[in-house]
Amino acid sequence: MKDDFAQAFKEEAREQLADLENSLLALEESPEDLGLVGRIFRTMHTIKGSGAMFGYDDIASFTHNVETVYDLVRGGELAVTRELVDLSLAARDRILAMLEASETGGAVDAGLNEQVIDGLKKLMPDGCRGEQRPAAGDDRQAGGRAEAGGRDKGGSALATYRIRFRPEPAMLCRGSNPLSLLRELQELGNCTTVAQTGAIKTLEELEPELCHFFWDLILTTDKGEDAIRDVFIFEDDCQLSLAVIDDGSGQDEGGGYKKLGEILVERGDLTAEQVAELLGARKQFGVLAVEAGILGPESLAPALLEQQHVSGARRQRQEQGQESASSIRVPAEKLDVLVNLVGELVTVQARLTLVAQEFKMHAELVNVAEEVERLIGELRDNALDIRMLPIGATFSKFKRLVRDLSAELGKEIELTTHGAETELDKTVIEKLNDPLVHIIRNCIDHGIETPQERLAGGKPRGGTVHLSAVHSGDSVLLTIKDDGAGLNREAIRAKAIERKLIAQHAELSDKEIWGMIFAPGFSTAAKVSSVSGRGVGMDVVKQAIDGLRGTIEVESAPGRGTAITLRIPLTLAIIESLLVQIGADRFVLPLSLVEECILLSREQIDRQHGRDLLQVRETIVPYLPLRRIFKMAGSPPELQQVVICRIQEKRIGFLVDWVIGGHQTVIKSLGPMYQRVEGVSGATILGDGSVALILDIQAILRGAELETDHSLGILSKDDMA
Amino acid sequence: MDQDQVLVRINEREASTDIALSGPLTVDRIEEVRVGLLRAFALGKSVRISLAAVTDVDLTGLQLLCSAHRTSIARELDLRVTSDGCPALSSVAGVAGMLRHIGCPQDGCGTCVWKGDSALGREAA
Repeated sequence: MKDDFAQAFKEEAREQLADLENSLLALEESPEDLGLVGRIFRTMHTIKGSGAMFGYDDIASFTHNVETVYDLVRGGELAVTRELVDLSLAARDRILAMLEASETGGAVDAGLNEQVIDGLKKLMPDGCRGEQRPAAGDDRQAGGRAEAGGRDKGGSALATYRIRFRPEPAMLCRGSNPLSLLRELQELGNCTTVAQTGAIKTLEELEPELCHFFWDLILTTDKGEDAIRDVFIFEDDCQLSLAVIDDGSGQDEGGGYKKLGEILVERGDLTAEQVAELLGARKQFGVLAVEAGILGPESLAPALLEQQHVSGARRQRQEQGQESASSIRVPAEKLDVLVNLVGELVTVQARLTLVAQEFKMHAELVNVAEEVERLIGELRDNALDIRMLPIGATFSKFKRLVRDLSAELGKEIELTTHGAETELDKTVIEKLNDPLVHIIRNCIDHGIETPQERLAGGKPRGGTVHLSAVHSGDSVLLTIKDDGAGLNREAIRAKAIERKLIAQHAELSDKEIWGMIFAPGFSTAAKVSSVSGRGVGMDVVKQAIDGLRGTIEVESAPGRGTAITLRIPLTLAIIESLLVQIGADRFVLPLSLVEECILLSREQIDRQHGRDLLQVRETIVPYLPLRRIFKMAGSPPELQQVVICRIQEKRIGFLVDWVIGGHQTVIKSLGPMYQRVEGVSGATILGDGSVALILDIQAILRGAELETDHSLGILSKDDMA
Repeated sequence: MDQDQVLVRINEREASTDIALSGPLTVDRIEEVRVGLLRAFALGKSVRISLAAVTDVDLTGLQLLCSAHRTSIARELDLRVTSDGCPALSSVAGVAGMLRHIGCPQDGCGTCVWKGDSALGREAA
């Protein structure tokens, strides 16, 4: 159980550190924002408090120092400077390092920790550098106020109090004013005030300078009982009764409150017997009690208000509770197991559908199979949906990257984002991190110019890297766009010729030229920096995106910048696919890439004299005969089928024996032995229990292009003749 | 007129006695107002009190109005109090918890001045 709590602490601390980083970056932009300062302080305080609770004393002690600094900022004793933000970010990194070291058992660089703390202490005004300066709200301060019963009299929990305040009659003559006391109470929280006027007499008998009122108040506040009593601290002669009628801890009250009769008995206005007697009649209880003459309206009014007030407060709390209970924390592994199980279920369901087709005469079996298919389809969609996460958290991480790198390179770069709420499968998001880092580093290092260069080019000093995400069908389009110098077409072309990637006089479109940057080891950078320029990166990006079954497109304009668009599938677990057969083997192609299927007869093939081209309406489409590529024995049927796919704006066909049809493919990874097999990205189990390989058609295309030494997508006119 | 001086102006009409109060309705002058109100009730007609020119109200002012209401019930005379949105009254009545849905124990005829949506002082409360 202790381990569970420690794990929960670590998970929450990581979230808080991510939040802290965002808050610090925002504070740098808005140093006057006291709300952010408060937020940073509270985050530090929480990490410190929970760290100490779970035995992470090093984290608690380190964080205490940072918290102290922000207490000074909060109190206006210390200004927010770039240096403070730098040190705070460094402190945040040190806390993360300590957290990670606690998981891996590694050592923490104590010297680095000290450097950060020393730096922070130097920022503090003289007299504030003492080691043990307690931060405001420190647990040690609050510790002495905790009540034995567990409820903190000093405040924090939202509780509702019933207060009766009876001032001393001559209070007004002494210059005291009960109204100011009432105002103070009302400022403590949500307060319902009822003046009791029963003691006021007619004009003949009234002593007008004396106070004949008393008050019943219902107050919901998190300030605690002490704060209420403090209001009356100088009013010794007043009568004050105070009772907690709702301590805010009840979770099962269902948003309601006591019945009116209970309240009146509790207040001493009625006896239980009187209540029981009245309940026999079928009228509103309060009306009955007043009618019976046993309860004055002056007693009924505050009781009714108490009922309304507490019910309202509880409803509000319940709504807030429902809000916070509307999400629960579940370990990611459990979700992975769930999705795997759903995958198995989808496979079994496919078998069931096959069996049902064999026994078509059993209408009931067919009905059940169809119903199961529908339900499993919904279950699959819901299970996959659970793993969907907004990409915003990943975007936030890059703010820091852009800030630190641009400072290192002496550039002024702002990161802007759009579509942070766009959701992607958790696994996809995790795998996207590294490619995005590579691309953004390249934007900063090679794309965006120095402030001087930008000014000379008539651009604003500061550059922008814009990250955006948007849904597009079953994919998400991620665009990384900078307003830098753009790609140098001639330099890329020259490098490609030098590296024999293209022929000396090859005529290439812009897209094909830009595509060269993804070739292994390709770099046009004149010098290698610590950031990039070694030519390692963009090919890794390409591989990673291919691994996600995604595509990359580059657009660039000289002097105006570059945009790299990644099309990423929403999920990696289950995909809609097209099942095809070659010989006795079956294969799966991602349906998202398939445009159409065309029949191809042996006669049509013979007419092309060995060139793998197919006339589709007005256009010529090249195709790859998979049987030949896979070196499969046997002869193809008389009539084959070409599955035409669109890959990076090109239409390419894949020749197969038969197209079986649409298929829900649960992706299974291949074992380590087969992971490097080109052209196959995974496998799936079919309804009859056999295995079908999932084709990586982009890799097949690349392989074919390398083999034929020219791009299939850029056929010359001669080829088409 | 002295700003601190409460003025009680009584105007006897055929069917009612009108009382216009002006200045502060506070503890310092409250006895003076009480006497004025008693004089008005002594005429035996319906009483109409206008608070439109009142500049300040404290608790004694509020309880004096309750007392006048009780007097009207005891003497079986109609009482009508108008404030024309007097801001001093509205804020004090709200803080003091005067605004209510049920009248006081003496309010058998439902004429409580603090009761209902159009009650005295409810305008800005």
